[in-house]
Amino acid sequence: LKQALLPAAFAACCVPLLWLAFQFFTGGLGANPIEALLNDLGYTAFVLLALTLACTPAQVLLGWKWPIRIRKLLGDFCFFYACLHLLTYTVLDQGFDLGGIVTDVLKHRFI
Amino acid sequence: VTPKSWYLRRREFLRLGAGSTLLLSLPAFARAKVEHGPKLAGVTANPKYALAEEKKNALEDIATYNNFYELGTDKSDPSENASKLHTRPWTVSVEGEVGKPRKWDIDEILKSFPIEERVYRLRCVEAWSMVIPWDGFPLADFLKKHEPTSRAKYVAFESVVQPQMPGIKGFGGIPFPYLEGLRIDEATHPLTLLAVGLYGEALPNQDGAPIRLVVPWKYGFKSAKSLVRIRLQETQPSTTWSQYASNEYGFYANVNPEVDHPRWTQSKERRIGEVLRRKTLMFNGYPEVASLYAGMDLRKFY
Repeated sequence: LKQALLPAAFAACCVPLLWLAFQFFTGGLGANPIEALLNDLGYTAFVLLALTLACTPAQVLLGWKWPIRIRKLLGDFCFFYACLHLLTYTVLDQGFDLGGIVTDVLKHRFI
Repeated sequence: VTPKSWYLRRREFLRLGAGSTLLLSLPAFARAKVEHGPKLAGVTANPKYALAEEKKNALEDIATYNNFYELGTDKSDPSENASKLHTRPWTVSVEGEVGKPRKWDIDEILKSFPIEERVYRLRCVEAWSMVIPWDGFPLADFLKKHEPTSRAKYVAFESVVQPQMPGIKGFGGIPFPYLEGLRIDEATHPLTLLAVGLYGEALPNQDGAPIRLVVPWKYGFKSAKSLVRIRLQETQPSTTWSQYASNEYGFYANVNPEVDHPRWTQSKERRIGEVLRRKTLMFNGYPEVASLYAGMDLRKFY
């Protein structure tokens, strides 16, 4: 059972990607698929970040050890989804218009 | 503390969770099917507003990607909750500074005004846009029937509130009914339309059935949906979005690539159906309205 934890977590982390890819190519993301992709990738990264950061408290407060064993995996996937999110923004959303992105970020700092 | 027997079954729970999430999201597989409204009789295309150089958006886009907060705040909510808006019986009340105030039944309106097709660009304040073949008639013709007085300087529009609409409790404190307004010269401009349909069919509920405003050179939120009251008045009406966040949404809300929204740029937009953003046009590509704002600082009156 212990050996299955890591592969199971890995598989679970892949689900959002496969799901989004499937939706993207079947039109399930609606009239503005890029916006949907951007939001969903960002949301997934955020959830994984929260899960990654919850591993240590789970051990300290609840005495669970198993989350620690998948913490690195969760963190890696968080980074992976964050990269996809950023790529979607720079390439698909902004068309690699770096000048435009810099102006946008500087003018609207909260981003 | 979690009982040991549960703890040992933790992965079953995870699988159950993942499985049920997947199952619950199955309806999202198929794109919401668009119901077609009844065909409108006697619609003639107005060649002056054919906009042949633009590719029209499909009804599926126009009827599944909507901002209509009374029916929910997600873009797909209004089409999913469309049946929560009841469009018959329907009364539109025209009141205020008019010689002939009147309460219209919607079917009387449909019979009294010749309906034409006009293809307009629609630019949302959220930086997306569509091209939509509206069916309707000029607001100017409608107002003229009621003989506006010399004190009619502004027109206020009120959208419907029905108790069964899921979003009317307000999103983050937005009060309903939704209120919009135009200056009288904007309201009587030949471009300003009262729309009752699109693609030759009665408006889908999520697009503001049975009758809505269309002001193509302004951000989409100015084009109030599902109208029940049109009031002519001497003072500038307060409008929902400018009340809610006056630094973000002004009374005029003309499409202007040079005046950014405080939180994002307005210089570009995504045309629904396209990937890369295109440049936003001044007055959304309707330069004929520029004279309405001669001498006004459009940065101040955004």
